[in-house]
Amino acid sequence: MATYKVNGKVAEAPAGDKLLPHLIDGGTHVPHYCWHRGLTPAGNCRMCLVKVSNSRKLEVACMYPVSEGLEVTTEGPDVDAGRQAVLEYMLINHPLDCPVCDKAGECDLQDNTFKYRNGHSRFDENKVIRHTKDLGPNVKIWGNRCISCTRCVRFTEEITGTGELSIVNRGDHSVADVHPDVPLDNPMSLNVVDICPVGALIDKNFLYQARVWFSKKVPSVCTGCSRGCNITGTVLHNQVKRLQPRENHDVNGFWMCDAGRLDHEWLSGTDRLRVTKGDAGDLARRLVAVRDRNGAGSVAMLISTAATVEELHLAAKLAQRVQAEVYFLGKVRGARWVSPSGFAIETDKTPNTRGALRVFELDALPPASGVVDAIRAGRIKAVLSINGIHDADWPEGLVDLAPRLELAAALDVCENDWTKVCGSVLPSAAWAEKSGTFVNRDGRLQRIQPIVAATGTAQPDVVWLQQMLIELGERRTAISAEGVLREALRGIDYRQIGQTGVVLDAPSAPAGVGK
Amino acid sequence: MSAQATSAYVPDTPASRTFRPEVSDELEAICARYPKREAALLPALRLLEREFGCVDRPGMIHVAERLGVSPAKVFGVFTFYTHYRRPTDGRYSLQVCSTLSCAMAGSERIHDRLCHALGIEGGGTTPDGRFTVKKVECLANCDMAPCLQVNEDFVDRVTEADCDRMLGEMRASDDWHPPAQTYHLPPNPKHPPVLLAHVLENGADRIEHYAARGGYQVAAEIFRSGRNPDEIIDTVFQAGLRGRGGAGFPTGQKWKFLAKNDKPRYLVVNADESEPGTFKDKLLMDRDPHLLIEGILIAAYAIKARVAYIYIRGELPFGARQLERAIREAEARGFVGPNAFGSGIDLMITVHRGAGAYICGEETGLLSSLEGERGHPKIKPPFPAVEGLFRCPTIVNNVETLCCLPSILKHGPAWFRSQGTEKSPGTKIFSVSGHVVRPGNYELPLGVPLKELIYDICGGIPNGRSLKAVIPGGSSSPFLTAAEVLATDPLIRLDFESLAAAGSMLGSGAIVVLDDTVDMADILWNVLRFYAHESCGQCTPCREGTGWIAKLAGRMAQGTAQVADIDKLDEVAWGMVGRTICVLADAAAMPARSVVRKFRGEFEAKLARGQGA
Repeated sequence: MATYKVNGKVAEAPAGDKLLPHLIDGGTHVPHYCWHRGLTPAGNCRMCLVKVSNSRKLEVACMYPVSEGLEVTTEGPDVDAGRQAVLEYMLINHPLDCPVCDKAGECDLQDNTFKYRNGHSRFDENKVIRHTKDLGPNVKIWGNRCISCTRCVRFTEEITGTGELSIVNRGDHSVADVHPDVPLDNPMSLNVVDICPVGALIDKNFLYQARVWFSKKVPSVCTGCSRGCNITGTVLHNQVKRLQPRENHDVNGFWMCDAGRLDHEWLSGTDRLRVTKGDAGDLARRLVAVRDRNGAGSVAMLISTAATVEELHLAAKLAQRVQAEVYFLGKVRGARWVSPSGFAIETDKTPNTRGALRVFELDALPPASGVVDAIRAGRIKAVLSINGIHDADWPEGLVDLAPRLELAAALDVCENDWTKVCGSVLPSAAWAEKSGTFVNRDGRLQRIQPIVAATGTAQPDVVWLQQMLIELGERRTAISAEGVLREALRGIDYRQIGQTGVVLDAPSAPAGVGK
Repeated sequence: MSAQATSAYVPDTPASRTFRPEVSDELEAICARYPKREAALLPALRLLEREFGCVDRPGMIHVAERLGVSPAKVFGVFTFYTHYRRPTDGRYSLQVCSTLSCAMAGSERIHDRLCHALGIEGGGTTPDGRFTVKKVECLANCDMAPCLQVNEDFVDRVTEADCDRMLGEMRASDDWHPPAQTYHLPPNPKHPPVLLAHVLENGADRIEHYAARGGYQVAAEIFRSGRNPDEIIDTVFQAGLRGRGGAGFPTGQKWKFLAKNDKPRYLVVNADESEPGTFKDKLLMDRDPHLLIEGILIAAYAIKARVAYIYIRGELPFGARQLERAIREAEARGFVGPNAFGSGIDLMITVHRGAGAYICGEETGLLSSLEGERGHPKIKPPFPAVEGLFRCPTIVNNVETLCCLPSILKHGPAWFRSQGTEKSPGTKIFSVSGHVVRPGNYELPLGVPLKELIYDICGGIPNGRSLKAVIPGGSSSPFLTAAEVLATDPLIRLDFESLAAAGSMLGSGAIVVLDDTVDMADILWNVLRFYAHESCGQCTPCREGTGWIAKLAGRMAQGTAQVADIDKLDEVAWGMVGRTICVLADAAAMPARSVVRKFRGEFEAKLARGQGA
């Protein structure tokens, strides 16, 4: 460790480490563009200039090594003048089109200009014009805004290993680009939009969708696979406009996959269930009636591994009460994809397989196909499905067997072939509309929270399930999701989970449930 | 500026390209000369050019597959370098040098003449795909100004009548080449040359000739006697040899900085001669390549490098061929290659062609380029001697520096120090161009007064004109006024110290002389266009600043700027200094500031006129 000084205050860091991360961690504001904690430093934007005791020039903090006795000054007229000069250069060929730029409001260039400059430019020449075009299915570039920081290039080289991007041309014609015949198309491509410090790279799905300063940002967890990447949702007018990764080095680092990022589009789809068919109390009584008529094991519950720990806990109570057989509805897709940097996209496309194993105290989850066999065998006379995603792996034959059932009922988010044949359908709040927790594949308990209000008469399944349990006398009053969690996992509450989760038990990742 | 004009010519591009088996083998042989396949990227693009006439999209994809890199990387590298043939380039690509010495000699008229005769705009191609005309930056042929290249062949001292004649001949032939370049050395009786002693002799480029004049004896003695390499480093250190590429760093000192570790060491020869006004290394490589090869042998032995790369700028294909032939001749005699001179030492020398990027003359930009990247300079430290090529200890030396080694080792440090000054010993080749009676290369002991070179040795200013300004060390060096050059106290001498004391630098020894007919705003614009064109684009102040000051200078040259713009240019240039990874920004800013400060009156008068004052 070396002892050095930052603006007169003593600090410690390993000798040879680059200054910038330590300055930032110590709470010092140092503006920067090209440096990103998740990428190798490039030292090209020249914005993080600081004064150091052993150089006459200003040095870039991202590349300057910590050494014993070093004195670093990060503010004052010299440093400000250096940063002001760099910013002036950075802006001369920039179109200054903040009013129509999607990055405005969360743009480092805009923020630093506000901080360091007075709005005046001495540049009276014609600007250089660079391309505006699609780089791939999800990303578009406004080249005039590009400051050639190479974050996006380094991302495709170091993180995805796909290398679709490079800086092309040179001098003030430099701009990020793809080879004309090879688009930016990889499972993580949209991360380049997040790390672009300016508005050059734009998420086509978010283009002109929302002004970020009118929007609300809410932390949550992606439910697109069993990894549970930490995310932030951008919400405007009660609509999820965008999902972005939230830094968590125990789960997703800085990144998330494109599929997860776009897993909000169905939330406002026309197939969302908005109207209640039947009611929860009645449904509960009819389930008991089927059991009473046909005996224990004549009711089946088909529960999604996308259900929260809280929902699973209540579902387990209900299953016990109606002596139901329990089967699990999963969603398994594709092949596992692991980037060269180690970022994995799982095949289990549900967030809580591990939570289901834990709540039901099972070593393996009975697959959904089991319910079909049991109906065919004549054992099952009622099926209640509890599903929170729009495209689960429904078992083949289930819909056709509905006429053999005395009761078909669903708690679901979207209309599908099964809900169409159900007599009772209670519309469920989707993941972005409710509170709850999931246990990811590594045994980490993480929390989702409502980003938007539920659609129509939809209610979180913890509400529906508690109404049913109250009807059956299993509980007296409904409690909050957090209360249910406390009941389910004795002693754990949302505060302990925090924004980054807690590990429940040692990892041994389940593969997800088959059809 | 790079020609961005659209072309009427639309080439046929196939959906995919694949090298023939022979070429494929050739590519594999090239790859084998580097520890990483991707380092063969620049040579691989040359293969595309040779095989398919240009580098195009499917070609780049094929190369990407072959070298195991992404197509975007190949595209990024290709667009960084200006010298590769583009798909829209015609059969004959006429590249007119537009940099200072050629511009002063009328290259703009030559360019316009060609365009007019062909009915195209600069940067364009005739609809039949036969001719392209474009402006290029300094071709290192400044004493033959104005010059141009037809594809890869030089045409010296072109006149408008030559243009018409050449176009006629090219129209009549599919394989027209200009006559081979001839070489000259202006008379310099007072200073017998050392390095340039033999360049004009017939056959000087062949090994028989070199050996017959005692060549390779020094290298042979060193290799065969198993001399302690550190002794050689000490000899060079004692001789006080300073790098001839521009920075003037003591060569022996640089060698002593080499990291002591188990990694392989590399010797890289900086033959990317592209500082405007410099044309000395071209002469050495074209005419006396074995002198360089022997220098390489000595340096490689001293620093224990077993692999040497000669990075030669793409615009000098003849020099590259000469060096390749010289290497083959030396290999045939067992001087280079496995078991060199029977010493048990294996030494491989590879010629690596650049492709049109001034920044690759900066040693770390050169190393990036040699590794198959865009020629982006690297952040120092670590310096190349600690972590350079392929992250191994590397010494980068200029051609002329290495050419000094055989005579230093032969005659000893005292002999070397008997020429030149105490701190700047030895002789140095000065490339003189612009407004002098006898432009050309002059090898002089360091310390000769600048005015003696201009007036006595080069014959003074032609046409009865008088001196206005001098660029003493390539266009990166601050300008000197006539008064400064002519003063006797202080007397400006051609050595590192004297020129530094005068606020300029010796640089590469490229002296451009300007007479009183020139408009300094035009000169400034020309110089700054060069840097704007050559900035690698990596660091913000340089990427944006070089373009900005070039545009300001452009308006000054055209007379549409304001008087206040003079201070603005000075301030904008100052903002670039010392804030970037390499010194290209400083190399643009320092001469710019010297011009607007030293010739302020001329700028003010011109701009005041433009404002109707």
